[in-house]
Amino acid sequence: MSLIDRYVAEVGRHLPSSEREDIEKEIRSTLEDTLEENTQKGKPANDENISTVLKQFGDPELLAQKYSPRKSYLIGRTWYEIYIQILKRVLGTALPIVWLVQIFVKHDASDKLGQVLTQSFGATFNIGIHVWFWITITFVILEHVGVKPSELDGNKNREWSPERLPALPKKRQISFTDAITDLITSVVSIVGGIVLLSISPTTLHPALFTVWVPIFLGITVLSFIHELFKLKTGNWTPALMITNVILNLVLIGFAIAFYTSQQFINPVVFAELPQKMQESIIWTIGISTAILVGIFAWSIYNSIVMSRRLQKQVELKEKK
Amino acid sequence: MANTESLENVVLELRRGVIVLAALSQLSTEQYGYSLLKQLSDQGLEVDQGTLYPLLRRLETQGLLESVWKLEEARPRRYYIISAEGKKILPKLKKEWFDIVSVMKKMLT
Repeated sequence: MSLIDRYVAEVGRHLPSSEREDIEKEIRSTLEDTLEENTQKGKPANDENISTVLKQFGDPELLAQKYSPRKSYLIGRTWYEIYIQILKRVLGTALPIVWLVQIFVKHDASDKLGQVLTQSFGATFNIGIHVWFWITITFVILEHVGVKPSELDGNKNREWSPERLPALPKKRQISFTDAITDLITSVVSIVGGIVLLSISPTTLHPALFTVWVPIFLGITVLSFIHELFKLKTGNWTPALMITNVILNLVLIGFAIAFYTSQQFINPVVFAELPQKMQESIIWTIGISTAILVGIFAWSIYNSIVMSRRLQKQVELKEKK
Repeated sequence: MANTESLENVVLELRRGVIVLAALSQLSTEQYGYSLLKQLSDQGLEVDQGTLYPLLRRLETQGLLESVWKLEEARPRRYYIISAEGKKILPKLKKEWFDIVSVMKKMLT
């Protein structure tokens, strides 16, 4: 009988406690009825009989689900879109700001760059995890209390009608969220460059402050202007696409040139570092360069594809 | 393989609605789960155990069936019988069914 006990317990495990006892009792009784029918008269049921009967009843979890359908997901279809949108918007705008505040409020020019970066990143990451957690919890509660998005704007008792359909949004290839995120990224880059110049830590290579960072600032200011236009236009027009391709090609060239120059750490300081550390610094910068080049290349590819798509749409409209 | 699977799915969906009607029609006298299953299969309607029993319970929470536990042969069994509410809607369901059958007959032949 132990197989039956185990089966019933397994079904019960997936049932809400309010119904568990009753349903378990019912399943046990029907299992025994079926088993009796499947065994020869006068003989006790053997394991083979039992397992045939259990197979007929099927996967215990599925059976429990049929008895008491309940939500086995955290956030369902109705909330998922909104959840992701809010998460993107909050994390995308709040975290860079938090990061900047961390850098400027918690540190001053006397702190070492490495320390500033790791501490501010760590703190920002922690805050990011918190924000993510609380937003997620909020949506999980909304989902499982059974609120629907339409109920939040006071439409609870009104019946749906075609008039309530929202107006078509203006078509944008580049969403506001994405454009603003890119804009903030370029602002952060500019601010980062200026901070680096104003601190000019002696541990870093002098050429950084005379050559690399100024060039970098030049490129980022141009890309900031480019991002502004991107935000305003919202579509990959030929002009935007071409400037994007040029900017990213320049960035790729810059990243590779910077890496091959190997002018990261002050040569005097670098020579004193243990060899393992020297290698790991070069490795880290190499990998970061590779990732950045990948991101730039993807941006080039994406803008070309999107621009072509836009071109096709325009042509289609003209034909009509 | 994919073909037989989708066929099975459609057949299952077709049957699902029918089982409610079949169970209601047979429960004018009280039955326990397994005896109802037998009775349905004797008349040619094979139903999965894992489908029938949860369905009976759902019909009871909807108020179409009533149930009572009885102790027989040293084994408790839950007996189901159609409720007053169920008796009221059964004729309407039957009519609905015959309408569907006649419409589908015309459509399919």
